[in-house]
Amino acid sequence: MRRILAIVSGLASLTLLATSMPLVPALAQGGASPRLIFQTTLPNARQIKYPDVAAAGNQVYLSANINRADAVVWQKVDSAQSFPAPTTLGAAPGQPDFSATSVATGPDGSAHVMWMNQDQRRIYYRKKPVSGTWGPQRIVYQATRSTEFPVNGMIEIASDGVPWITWRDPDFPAKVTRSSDEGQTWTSPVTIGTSAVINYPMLAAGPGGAMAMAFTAGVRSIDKLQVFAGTWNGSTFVTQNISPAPDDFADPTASYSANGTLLVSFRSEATSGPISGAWLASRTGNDPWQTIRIGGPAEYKGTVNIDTDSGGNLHMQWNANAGAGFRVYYTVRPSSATAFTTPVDAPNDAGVIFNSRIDTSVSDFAYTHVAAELFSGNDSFVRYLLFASTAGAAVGAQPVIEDGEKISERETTVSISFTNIQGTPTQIRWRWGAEPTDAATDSNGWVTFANPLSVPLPASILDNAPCSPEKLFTQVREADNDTGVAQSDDIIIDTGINAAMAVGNPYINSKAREFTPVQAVLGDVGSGGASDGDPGYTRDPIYYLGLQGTNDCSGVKDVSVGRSTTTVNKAIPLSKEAFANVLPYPGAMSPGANQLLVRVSDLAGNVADFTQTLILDQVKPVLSATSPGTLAVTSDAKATILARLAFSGVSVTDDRYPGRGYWGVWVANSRSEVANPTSDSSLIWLPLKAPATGNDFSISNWSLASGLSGALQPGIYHVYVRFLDGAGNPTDGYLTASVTLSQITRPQVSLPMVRR
Amino acid sequence: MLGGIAALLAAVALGLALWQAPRGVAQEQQPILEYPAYPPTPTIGANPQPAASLQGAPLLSASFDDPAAFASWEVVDFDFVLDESRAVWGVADSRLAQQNTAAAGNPSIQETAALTGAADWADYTAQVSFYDLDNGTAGLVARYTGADPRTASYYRYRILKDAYEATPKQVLERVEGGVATTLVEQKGPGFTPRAWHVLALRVVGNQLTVTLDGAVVAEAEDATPLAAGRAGIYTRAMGGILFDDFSVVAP
Repeated sequence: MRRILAIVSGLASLTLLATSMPLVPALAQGGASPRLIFQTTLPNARQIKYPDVAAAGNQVYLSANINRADAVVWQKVDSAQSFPAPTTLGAAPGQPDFSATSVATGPDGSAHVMWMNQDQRRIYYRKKPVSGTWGPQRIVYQATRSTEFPVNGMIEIASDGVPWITWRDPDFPAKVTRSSDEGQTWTSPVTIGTSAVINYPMLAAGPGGAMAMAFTAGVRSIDKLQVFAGTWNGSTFVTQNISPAPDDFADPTASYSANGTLLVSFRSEATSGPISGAWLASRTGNDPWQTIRIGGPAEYKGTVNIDTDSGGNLHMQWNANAGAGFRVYYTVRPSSATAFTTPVDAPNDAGVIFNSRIDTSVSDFAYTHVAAELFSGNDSFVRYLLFASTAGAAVGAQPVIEDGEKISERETTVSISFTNIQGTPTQIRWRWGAEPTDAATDSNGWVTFANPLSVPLPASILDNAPCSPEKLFTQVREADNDTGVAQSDDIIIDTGINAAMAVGNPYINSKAREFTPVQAVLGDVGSGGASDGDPGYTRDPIYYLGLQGTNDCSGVKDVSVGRSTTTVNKAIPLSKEAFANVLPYPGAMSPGANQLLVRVSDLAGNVADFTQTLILDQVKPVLSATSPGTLAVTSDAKATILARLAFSGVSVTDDRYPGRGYWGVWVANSRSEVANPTSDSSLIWLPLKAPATGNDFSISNWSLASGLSGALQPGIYHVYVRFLDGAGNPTDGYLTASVTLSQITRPQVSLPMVRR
Repeated sequence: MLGGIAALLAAVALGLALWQAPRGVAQEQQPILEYPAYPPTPTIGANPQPAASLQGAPLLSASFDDPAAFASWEVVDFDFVLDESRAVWGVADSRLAQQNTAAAGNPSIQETAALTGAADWADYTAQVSFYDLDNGTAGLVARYTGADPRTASYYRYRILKDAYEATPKQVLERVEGGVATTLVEQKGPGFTPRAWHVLALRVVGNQLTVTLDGAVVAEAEDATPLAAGRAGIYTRAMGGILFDDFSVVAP
């Protein structure tokens, strides 16, 4: 009987809970204890508007336009109760309503600020690395059209570190732009939908590079303001109306939970009745939006702010008059709970507070930082409030791959350092491409936590890296198995050098198009040598180097040469990943085989060595004086100007070139017989590779006009031939033959007749 | 006993069904959070000093019993604002209220006024009763001329609530071409919120006199007085302030 009663008692409790939760869910009271730590007015900053706040690690950044002059940012430790003097980032003159500033932090702890200069109608950006100073001022956007007057700008940093900035022109939809090169260049602004936005468009960064937007816009059919939200689909934000009723709703903010649920909070304009209050809409993936009413009837002003911290705790803040004048309210839903705490309020004695923003940092506590406007009668100031809750006692660590580099060379492991470490992690597990689970990790389950940590790159990445970001998810836990949410960073792995290269004979004619040879040095000179030959030979201690990057992931950076890996010269930087020139051989070059080492580097740090053997041959081949062979020249019947050169029994010896002793022939035409062809400067010699491997061969379609000037006339054409070794050295001996042309006919090409 | 368990299970099922019911426009949701229990807000009583107490020849009297009567007034913003952020004034419950701005009903610290009367009004006393909830700024405008509020000319008296840190709490100033010159200023006191006050600005020749709840709080002489112009009620576009029994009488 006692057992049955116990079951009945349990069912009764469950029944009460199940029926009452939809109406007034139980509040989670234990463990969070939110409270106001302190609030202060920042000194020496007047006539401000729309201050913003962001936090990363234990650092807090607060931005504002001040004194109708400057965009500034303050920085402090999250728990500190005072701010050092601000840093001025740039000019933000004029009426502060139109000189908005916004600050955000990146996944690596960097700080990013955008601000608007209304006089210039221009948007600016600056970045501060986590342990550096503020970088240069970058121009995000310059308004040019008369309808453009950028206002209400806001910045957010995606999980891949890319800054996004949104703003609007009055009576027009929101615009958004982003930068993938540290703010140096920005994409052309994308206009989001067609609805004119009221007040601020808001961005929220989610896991895996996700980005969401929320804004207020009028709906003509019902003549009401409604709230819209949606996610980036690669080219725009696909938004939908998430308002819970056809009434006036406004001023949303958005945040992502660690599991990718998009959360949007907003307010009703109604101060009483069933739709009044603060609202929270949520959507996971493509599921339908779920909307719940957070706060009840009151007069709400400005945004209802929401933020999910790195520990998975959900924080909300808003300004409302709920019967005690306008106050700042704050509540938190701990990651371990299903309900929000009872909201705490901040006494408001200094003036009226509105237009607040929040961000949360997690260290010893979860700190919620509130930046707001304070109006005290004549002027507006920056008011900062700090709330804390023990919900921050979470465990977590933000991974940073290879010190935040975007691209890494091919390595078997990457170095992971951790920032924003919360709690005391003792173990870690990781997985490439997806969050680790008990069933799937790349770390073989939980291993000892270390900072920094060496993580192997799996073969699936090294063998098949498509030059796109590879995401590493890490998850830490404490000794008592308190486990943090999976956090990620990504990096592009450049698995090697991709380049086309030619190294060898500087006289060959297959050099890169960009290369312009010096005719006097590399052209055909009868007393010198030919402008072609075997790529592996040279007759001078010089060589040709041609290099072109071919879709290298990071880009080919430079090239250096030497005789071996220990004698590599200073690297030559490349222009447009290309190089083509004739270079002196490094060091002394001896007759015969010489080694040349070419080292190519890319921007990711990959290095590749290529070796080439170059044979220095400065000795001319010798055509047998006694039995040099024969040459016969036969004119083509249809095109008399073309001739067939038939060789038979050629006998050449050379000290370096193997086989028959010659690489090719050097041919010259003449209309008159030449007494001494080897020294006659009127002959124009052209190199041709000799076909086949034996000493009987023929060359077809030799133009009897080659090298000749003036009009071609019937008569005798003399052909002189010398033989070339691989380095282009010619024989002093030669063969000659002549042919008589009774008429000159040129090659003809028959084209199909076209009738119209 | 088994029947009791079955009934309880049915109740559980009903409860879960209610929890999982689709939420929509038609379904009223209770808020999941409750605010702290604050002391009851004082009731706004009747204005104890209606305009009848003002002596002189009436030029205009507005008790705001008829909302349509306010249509002839002009609302101006003294700062440059977007159209969507213009100050909103309205009549409700027989009172004139400053109702924040058009931008989703948000408050703004921009200065605003509701103007009425004629351009040839020269010597008169403008009087209004006001009840401040959480705005904190009240005032009157006299001899207002100009097409653009940012370059208009007028006399203005403004007073802050005591709780504001800013000083001076009271300023009587001459604004010409949008540029204000202080005639009189008082570091304090300000006014007490959540109480009816009667404010009057008298402009006769070059003499300006301000009374608050019947007591003179500021007097000034302007050597080169503004000649004539409309009268109006001044505050900031932060909502939370009520006006009643506005009247203008000639001496």
